[in-house]
Amino acid sequence: MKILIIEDDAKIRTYVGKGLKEAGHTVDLAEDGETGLHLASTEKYDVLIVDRMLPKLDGISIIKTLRGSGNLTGVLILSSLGDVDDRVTGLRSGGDDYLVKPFAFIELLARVEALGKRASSPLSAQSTLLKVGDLEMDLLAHKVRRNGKIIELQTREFKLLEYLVKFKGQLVTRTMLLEGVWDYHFDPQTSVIDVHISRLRKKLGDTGNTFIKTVRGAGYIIEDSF
Amino acid sequence: MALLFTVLLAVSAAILGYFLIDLGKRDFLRETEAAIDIEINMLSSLENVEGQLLPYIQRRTQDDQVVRFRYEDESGKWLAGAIDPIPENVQKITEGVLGFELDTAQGRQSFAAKIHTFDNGTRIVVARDVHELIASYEQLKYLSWLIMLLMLIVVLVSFGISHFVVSRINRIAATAQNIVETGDLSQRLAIDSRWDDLSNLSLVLNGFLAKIEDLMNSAREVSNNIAHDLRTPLSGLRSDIEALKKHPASEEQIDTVLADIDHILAIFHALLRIANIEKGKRSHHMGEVNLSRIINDIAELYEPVAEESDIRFDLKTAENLIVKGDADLLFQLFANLVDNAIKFSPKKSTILLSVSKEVHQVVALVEDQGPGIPEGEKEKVFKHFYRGDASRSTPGNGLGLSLVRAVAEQHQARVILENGGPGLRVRIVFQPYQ
Repeated sequence: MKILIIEDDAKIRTYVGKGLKEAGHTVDLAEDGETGLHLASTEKYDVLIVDRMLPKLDGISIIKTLRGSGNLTGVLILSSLGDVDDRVTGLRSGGDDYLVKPFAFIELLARVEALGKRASSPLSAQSTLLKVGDLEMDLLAHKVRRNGKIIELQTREFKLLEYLVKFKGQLVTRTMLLEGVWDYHFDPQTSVIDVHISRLRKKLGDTGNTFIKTVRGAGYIIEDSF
Repeated sequence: MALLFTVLLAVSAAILGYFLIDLGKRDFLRETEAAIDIEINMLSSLENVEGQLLPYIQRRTQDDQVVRFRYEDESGKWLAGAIDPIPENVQKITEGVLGFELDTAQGRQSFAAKIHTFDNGTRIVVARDVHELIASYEQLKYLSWLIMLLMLIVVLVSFGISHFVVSRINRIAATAQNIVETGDLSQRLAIDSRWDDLSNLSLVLNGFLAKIEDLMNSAREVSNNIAHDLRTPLSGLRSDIEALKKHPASEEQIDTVLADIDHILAIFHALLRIANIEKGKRSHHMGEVNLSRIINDIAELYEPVAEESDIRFDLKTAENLIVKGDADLLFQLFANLVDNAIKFSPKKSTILLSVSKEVHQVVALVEDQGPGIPEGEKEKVFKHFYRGDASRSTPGNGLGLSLVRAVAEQHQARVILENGGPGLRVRIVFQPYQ
């Protein structure tokens, strides 16, 4: 993927840039709002990583300008403003995802890749039948089959599995699951998600944790090659 | 200042008193003198007519007790009138006016007199009984003294009051000054009575000081607790990093270090969040929230966690109860409560989750069968970083209930901690939704 990072903090800019390059992406860097907007509107990117507070032009204005000119590139907003209110302003301006500083790089990478995937396969083009290895999900009939055998799942378990399968081959973090499946922004104090995953694994007959794999300290992944 | 006013008041009282006495005296003299002068004029006109004077004097002497005469020739020999002999102790009252005492039917009384010498050398002494005038003069004098005395009392009392007030104010100022200089907020203003306005003011100021002290203490407590709470993970972090110096870092070690840092960041994040909520920063973000849905979602989210400890949820939610609020924050509130309830519940117990309408209010309940909270700790558990004896060994940062209260207050809801059968019953009472 081709990614543009607009961030004035040199340390974060180089660190994130280096990390994304190591993950196999092409990265452009901009250190102020004007350069960033210029690059974003002249070049074609898969994902933009935009800091909210920038010299010359702030992140929200960049996103509004891009969206106003019909640019629909996926945007991840980085910000030290972590309030839900700030998040809402960020997302309303046209951002697709919001990550609060300080963050774990792995979280950023997972979200950037998820954004890239969403952009490459728009919702309308997605089929209602998902397949990973021997698992089949029928989104319309709300049915899950593994090896042809129907597995009964509750609504939330179904949504959880659907989210993981949609992003197969990619790391999905716990916060992404909370936001994507439960639709609430909050801090669970205990590892509620882990318990839901282990329940889902049990129902799927995933005894060795081989289907839904745990990425330590980060989240979960369903391997594409499965 | 008080002294100056007192002196001014005293001087004006003295001037008033002197003026009253002096004026009374002058008036009394002038009137008497005028009356005598009229008599003398009368007598002078009679003296011009031969043979009129003596009979007139004799007639007046008989009917009039108030005015007395003594008519004498140039050698001082008595010719007519009631004054004879010349009385002893003749005093000169003012220029031309004499005073002496004479016997009357009412005993000896004071008379004022003037002497007039006619052209032929004879003299007439005209005396007027002035005892009534003197009596009223004396009365006036007493009254004046009384006024002066009263004013003196007023002066003394006002001096006392102003001295009292000023010394009180000075004392309040001194205490305030002392607090400013030493920063010691535990000082209070002395209160020695309860009836005067200044004591009332002192009471109010003491309340004010207590409030400030309380706020300062809680701010200090929070920073102390932050320092204390962060020292443990920070020293852990330090020793973990130190260990990395000797050997190449393994992934596991780095994960430990990151977990340490995440723990510290989580504490700051929680503190900032509480501070922001307490500031009411997001109050404009309120909308209609379906509390029944939130409670159901919470139960669904936490049900597997509870199941791990053989804890069952008893879910009693009335349909579609709407409150005004912020769904994410309310979800966080109940997540914290349920998380606590699961932590403190014994195995194989039940947690009651309910939301219902009581009269006009929407009431949500989270009730566990754990150890509960002792009466004395019920207020403390809401303080930042407070951890009761029962919770010291459990994971957590001591900010969960602080956040609960902050969110509740922002929603104008009340958090009530009650003792259940055994266990804790948390009751959240929401304002009726308009």
